[in-house]
Amino acid sequence: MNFIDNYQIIVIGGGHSGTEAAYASAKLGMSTLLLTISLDSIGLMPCNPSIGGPAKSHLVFEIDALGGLMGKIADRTSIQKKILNRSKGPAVYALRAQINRFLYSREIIKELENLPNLDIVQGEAKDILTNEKGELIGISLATGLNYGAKSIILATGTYLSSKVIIGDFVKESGPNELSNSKYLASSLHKLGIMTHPFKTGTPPRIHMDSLAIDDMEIQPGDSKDYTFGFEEVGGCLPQVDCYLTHTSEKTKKIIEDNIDKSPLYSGIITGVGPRYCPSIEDKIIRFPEKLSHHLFIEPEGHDVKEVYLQGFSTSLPGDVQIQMVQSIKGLEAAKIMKLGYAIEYEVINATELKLTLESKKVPNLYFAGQINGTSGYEEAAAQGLIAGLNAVLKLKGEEPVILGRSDGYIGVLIDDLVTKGTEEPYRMFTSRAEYRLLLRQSNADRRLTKLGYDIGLISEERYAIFRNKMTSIDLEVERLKDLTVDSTNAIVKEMIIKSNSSDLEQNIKAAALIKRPEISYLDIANIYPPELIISEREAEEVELLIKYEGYIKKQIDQVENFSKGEKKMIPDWLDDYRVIKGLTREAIEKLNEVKPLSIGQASRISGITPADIQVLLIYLEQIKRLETNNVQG
Amino acid sequence: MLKDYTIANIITPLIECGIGIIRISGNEAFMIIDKIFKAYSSTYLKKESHKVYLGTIHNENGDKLDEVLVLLMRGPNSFTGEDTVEIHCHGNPFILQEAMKVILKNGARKSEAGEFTRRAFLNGKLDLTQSEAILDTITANNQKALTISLNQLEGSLKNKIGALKEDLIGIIAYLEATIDFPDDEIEESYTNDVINTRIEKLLDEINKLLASYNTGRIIKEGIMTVMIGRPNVGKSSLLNSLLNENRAIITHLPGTTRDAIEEQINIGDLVLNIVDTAGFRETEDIIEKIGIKKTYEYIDIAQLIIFLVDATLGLTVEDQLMLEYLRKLEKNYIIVMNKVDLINIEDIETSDDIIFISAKHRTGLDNLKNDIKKLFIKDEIEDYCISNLRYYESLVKAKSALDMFQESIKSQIVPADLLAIDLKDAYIALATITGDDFTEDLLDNIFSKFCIGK
Repeated sequence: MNFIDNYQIIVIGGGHSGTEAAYASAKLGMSTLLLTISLDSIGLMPCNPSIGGPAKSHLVFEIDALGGLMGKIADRTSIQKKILNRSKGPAVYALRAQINRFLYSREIIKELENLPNLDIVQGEAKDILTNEKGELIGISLATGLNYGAKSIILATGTYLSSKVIIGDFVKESGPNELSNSKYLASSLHKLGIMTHPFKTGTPPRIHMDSLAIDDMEIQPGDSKDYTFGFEEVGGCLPQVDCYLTHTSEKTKKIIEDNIDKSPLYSGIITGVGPRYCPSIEDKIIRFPEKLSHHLFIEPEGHDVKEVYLQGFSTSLPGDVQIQMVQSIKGLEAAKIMKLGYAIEYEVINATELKLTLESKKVPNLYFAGQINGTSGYEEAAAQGLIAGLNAVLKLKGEEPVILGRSDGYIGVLIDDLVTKGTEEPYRMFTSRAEYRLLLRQSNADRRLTKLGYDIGLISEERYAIFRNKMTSIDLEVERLKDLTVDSTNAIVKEMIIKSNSSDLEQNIKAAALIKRPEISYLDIANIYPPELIISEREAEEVELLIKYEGYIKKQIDQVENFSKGEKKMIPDWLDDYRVIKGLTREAIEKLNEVKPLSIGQASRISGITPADIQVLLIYLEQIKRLETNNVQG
Repeated sequence: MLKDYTIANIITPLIECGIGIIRISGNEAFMIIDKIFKAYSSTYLKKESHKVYLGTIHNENGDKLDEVLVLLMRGPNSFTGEDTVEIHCHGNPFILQEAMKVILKNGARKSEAGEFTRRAFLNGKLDLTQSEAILDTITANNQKALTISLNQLEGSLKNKIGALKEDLIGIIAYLEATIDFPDDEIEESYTNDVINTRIEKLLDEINKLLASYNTGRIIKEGIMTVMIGRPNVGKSSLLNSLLNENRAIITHLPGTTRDAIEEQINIGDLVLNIVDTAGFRETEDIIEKIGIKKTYEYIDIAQLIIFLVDATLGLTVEDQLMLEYLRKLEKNYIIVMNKVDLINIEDIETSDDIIFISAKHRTGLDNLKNDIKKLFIKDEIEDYCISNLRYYESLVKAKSALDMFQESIKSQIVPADLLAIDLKDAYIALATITGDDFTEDLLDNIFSKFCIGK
């Protein structure tokens, strides 16, 4: 085989997953090739122009804590920031940024273009090449060029054999009129990796000037300077507003009258779509009693007229879309620039993967992002980063990065995918995380930055700053636990009255006082300031560590219990569970499919009962004993 | 994973016999026994392994359950290889189950079938030839356990737990939907007040189920019934009259507590384990005094007290004192006026809670039996009796999580994400009875109830 070039790692796909993978790989010194269908569309946001929100922002914080790209680029290109769920508790505060999607893509390209070790090539991957032993050796492009590789990361997003559907119009295409990936799916099939269709959709894009924004409710941002990135370099772009409006009963009627033209109902679309992201026609049909649905107008940039109609994803025919859009309050004269569409694309079953995101069938072949059945930029980026790191670590002969369910949302995401698979496009929710009080966006750095540093994605300088931050938080918490508040102090008394708190009958520890809901960290710090004033973000963390100490402790106890099962590893050689006497046939099938790493993971496979786990445990113990006896004998 | 819980169970058959043994095994075994056991001798404080200590065990209110022998065995020198405690109680199923309850409350988990043996194996206390046999047993146990659990779950209990879960997940779904979909229109139908009311209703239902555990147990194991009354009031004749028609298996049971159980009587589905007592009266006689002291001890552990009064004498001073004593206890008691054949019944002021019988002529016995049934079998809970300790345990967990939730929600300061932790705990406790996946249930519920999505 003639290779144009040989790389250690080739990443196929330049979306949010592929770019994180390529970035991590090149940054860690691997010779890396990023192959993309369109050079200009690297880092494209083909759907909503925003990053973050509940659970998704947690993912972005974690990506940043590990040294990934998404957080800092989102900060740089944000045009509105908002903290969601402020009143709903510390575990679920979530930052969401509206993004200038053109600049986002541009900034990602800049980062990658300037990265040593990384080559970027435009082209369509056709075949994954293996030698006669079945080992991965490289890829061939549709144009006939071949590139050699030790590892390949597939991040094909929604491009794999994809088709775009609007009414009865069907076109073989990727999103946004980009070419799809025509050949790769059958190459996967030849390797024994099966695919099936998923579906998603996007709403129409409209010209800003055709909107009557005075008829809508303005939705401003509230946290311009709050950053995903640890380095806290915010953007400097002008900030914009979003707008809230509603569908009308007329909209409902138009949709009901035309529902037979929907490809979802006519049978053109067979792929499974996400329940949390239904098209507007789905919402109208499934919730007929709801006469009006709300919609958000989201600008796609501060200097761009194209706006995104959030909540109005549709695949009805173009003429119907125009009527529908114009039946919305404030959109009566709306001019559609791009029609909404549904897109069907091929995904693999993620239970084919190890927790490292490497294929079980084809060593050194990794899968990341939407091809694994997820949806969302953040979910994709998180997987890209982990796949990239693991591809590198394996080539270096080092231990893989496997985050647990109690380490981060990334851990929950990958464990869910690989252990349970998914029957619809998988989106991260905070409710998927059992230990979410411990997985706050505010402590993502504490949880993951040391790991990022050990791997080599976090610089010495940043690590030093990180350690200082941790120390100052810890010292401040300790100080407040020791500090006695003088109940006779006039300033203290005044503060207590002002906070509407109950009188202090005697001296009290500062930490105990902060546990009162009406007293904040700042109330105390203003009277008893720390030696070194701490930053706002540090103060926020100090306060919640004190206020929610009891709940945090409860969750730590739960994690301790949970991690015992996670630490009980299942040995590599156990790859056919039929050898275990006493397992049910269903259990054998499931275990053979997932090949869990630990007893804990095995217990989460759907259909695996506690009884199966006991049989498994006994078998493993038996074998261990046999081995010890043999050694002794 | 399995090794790290402390487990406990009754390891002798649950029938009335001389002795009943509870075994606790695991890291926390010694800690748990400390909480419930009061040793007579201070040598217990040394906690020497393989020593026997005499003392009493107590329920969570500190009430004495039984006088017991406690054996401490430090791991690895025990059957399971872990720290192990054995409590040798009197062989009364009621006492054993009460003791189990307090042990579980203090942090142990009820062991599964074969779990002590399995731990013994895993800790190297059994050899390999034995392990094959164990493997077979466990597989068999599972299939059997599966059948048993399916049978138990079929029908109304399953529906009942299902309904509770449905209610609970509706509330969780609301809280979670507002968290995960802050931009979506989640109908604000669940104010804190509404949630609170619904949780209260749930707690009511759970309490009813927990109460039905006693009914279930009573049906299975019989009611500890104590007959009291002054000497010659006719206790023996009543016993004989009941026996003539309803003789149950008579077992003569050795052992101190059991000494008093004279007979077992069937009344419909119920079994009365009857303890006859010495007649009470003011006395100087030491032996009689001891007898009377015992009477009070039996009353303490009784589930039903049949208080006989001599109709020809009416309520004597002693009777009245006893009645006052009974009224203060939260126990089921029935006042039975015997020898009505000897008086003119119209002369007596009747009252609903007194049953008139003539043990000798066997009149009024049906009324007595009906009253007993009414006390123990309540129609509303008959459909779904909890007779399984594991379910009981799960319901207790669910209840305590919901109690915590109520405390939090009343304080009005605990944010939604933390409130959800307690509700989730309660749901998972219920789901261990029926076996479902929390996250899947939750997402199904959110997406079917709320119109969500970008």
